[in-house]
Amino acid sequence: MTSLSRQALWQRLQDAGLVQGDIPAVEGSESPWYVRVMLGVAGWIGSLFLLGFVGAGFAFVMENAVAALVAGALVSGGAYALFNRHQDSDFFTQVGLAVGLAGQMMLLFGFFELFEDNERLVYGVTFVIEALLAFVMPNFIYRVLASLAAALSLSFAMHSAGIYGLSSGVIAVGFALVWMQDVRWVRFNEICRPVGYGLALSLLYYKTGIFWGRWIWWSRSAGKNWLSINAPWLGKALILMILLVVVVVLLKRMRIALNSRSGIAALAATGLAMAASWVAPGLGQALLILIVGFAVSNRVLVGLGLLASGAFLSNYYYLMQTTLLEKSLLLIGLGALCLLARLLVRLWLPPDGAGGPADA
Amino acid sequence: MLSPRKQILQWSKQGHLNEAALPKSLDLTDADPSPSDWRHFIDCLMLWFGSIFMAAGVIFFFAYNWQEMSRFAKFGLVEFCIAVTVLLCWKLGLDRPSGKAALFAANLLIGALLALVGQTYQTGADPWQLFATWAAMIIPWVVIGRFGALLLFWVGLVNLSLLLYFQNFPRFFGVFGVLFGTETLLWTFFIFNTTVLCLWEIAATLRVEWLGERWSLRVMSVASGSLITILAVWAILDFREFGIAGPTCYLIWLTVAYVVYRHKVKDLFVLAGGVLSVIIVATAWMGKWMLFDHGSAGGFLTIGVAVIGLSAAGGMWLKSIALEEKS
Repeated sequence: MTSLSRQALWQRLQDAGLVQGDIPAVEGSESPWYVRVMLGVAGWIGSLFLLGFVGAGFAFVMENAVAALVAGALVSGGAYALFNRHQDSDFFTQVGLAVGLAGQMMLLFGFFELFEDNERLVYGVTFVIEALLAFVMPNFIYRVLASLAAALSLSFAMHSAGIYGLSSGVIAVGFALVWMQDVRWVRFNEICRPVGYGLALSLLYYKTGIFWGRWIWWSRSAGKNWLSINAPWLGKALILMILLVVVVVLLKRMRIALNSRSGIAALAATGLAMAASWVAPGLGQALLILIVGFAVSNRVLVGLGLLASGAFLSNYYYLMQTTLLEKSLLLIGLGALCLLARLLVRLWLPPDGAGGPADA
Repeated sequence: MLSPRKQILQWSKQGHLNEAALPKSLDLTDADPSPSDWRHFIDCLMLWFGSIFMAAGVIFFFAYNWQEMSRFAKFGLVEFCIAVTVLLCWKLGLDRPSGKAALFAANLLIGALLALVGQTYQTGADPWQLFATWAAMIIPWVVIGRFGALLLFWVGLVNLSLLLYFQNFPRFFGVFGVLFGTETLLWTFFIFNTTVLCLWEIAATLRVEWLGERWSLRVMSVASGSLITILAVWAILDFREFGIAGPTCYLIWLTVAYVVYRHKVKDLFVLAGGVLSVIIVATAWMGKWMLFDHGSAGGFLTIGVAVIGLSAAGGMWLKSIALEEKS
């Protein structure tokens, strides 16, 4: 990866005749991720107090589903207007975020009141609303939170329908698609990037057991149809297939033939990772986030992938389906295979001197 | 600064670069990882996954407590693993990533050995003693390892043993013990983690190379900052009395953090955490005075607006510092 400065980058593109004129001025500088996290958490706290204000001052809104839905829609509309009209104002953007999140909660409150007897429907409607809000609302942090909520609602909706385990595969497909197509969908980057982060966070939540992941098991209601019975392995297979597709696409992008030494090594390593992930749930998601994150040169995603790897280990310890003896043998075997594969790659594909300190 | 990849995508989105020319532009500027970058990344991944999975596998194995295996075989196995990792570390050298990975695995295996001692001889020791002994035993390796992640692991072990120690302690004091015990525990955590952070930052300033990695220092600053924020909120919301130690220490911490991370070290990450901390403490303070006795709609609205105002102002301030650092 290059570490060219902005000026050098422009110069190189100009020399190749791909851009013309002077380097464009820096437009509305983007805040680092941790500043956005700070704004997101603060916006969320602010929205809770705004919701408290509505509850204390206009109690009828919280007591009536239709009133909550109407108020939620109006407040969300107001947030949309604020985002649109004051894109350059930090203050109004933050007001829009807090107001928008409060409106979103009112909408959800209304739907939960309206369909309280039908869990499947309530999560299904929540998924649609959240996905729509993630698409429509022109704010990065709002979109991350809305797409995270949409992905989790989809999981809950599928679980309440007795389809356990498939949603992680569906989310993984969405995650890979959004990030791997960022060049082709560049004009939609303002939507795709935050949605991609939301999906990454939901993958982290889902099977790696981080946050409050384990209770999802308890809400499972078993289904009797084909999809319900086969969903757990279908979800796993979908994650592993998407991992393989990502690797093949990356090899093609680097113009590495699948039957070349590097191609065979990459496919063999992916095969090993797929086999291990089949028996060790959570590992596939962690690897997917790591590989996609590195492919798009995104440090935050790589960090999330490492977090997912750590969460996988801690969650795996408490997994009830297999004994600690089986889990220990799998981990020892997998670890040994990783080290052996590393040694073989070093022997088979000698380093060309680039990248990182020398190692035996 | 944006990564070259992100910068090119942004220029394309702004219309300075034709969308059709994007793949060529990325290629030309080497903005995407090259095969050699990938090779290095996968090499690191396999090394660390391999070492940690193997060591974790050994820990899982002893946690299973396999009855059919004799105690001598168990001790032999874990000691053999420790010997192999230490030998590998010695052979490969601590300057290489593989030497560091072997040392890290050896440190994990020491925990398995201590757990096995407790399991076999039923020493009656409390769990905190296991972690405290583990932390004490690996100190020489942490020192010679010269490796930030290993030092963080050691700090984590000390924190865990402190937590387990205090979980035993309140039993002697009933309900009051639980209340005071938690506050004492938070103070102990804060003092320990902040001391480590200060020493680490001083060492980094003195250009001790292996202690200069910002990510591990940021983890420590999150620990220290979160704890003092909890203590300040605790003091504000405490129903017994308004303790002065929490708010005073909080103000001192905030001032020192501002001076150090704004002017000396210049780390926007810690400053962003500080802004969030101020928002949380201010919210707790306003909540106590406006809502605890007579919760009203006006109180909720005032606090909501104050939080929005504070976070927007904080965001603008952080953005201006980021711009200042760029120029």
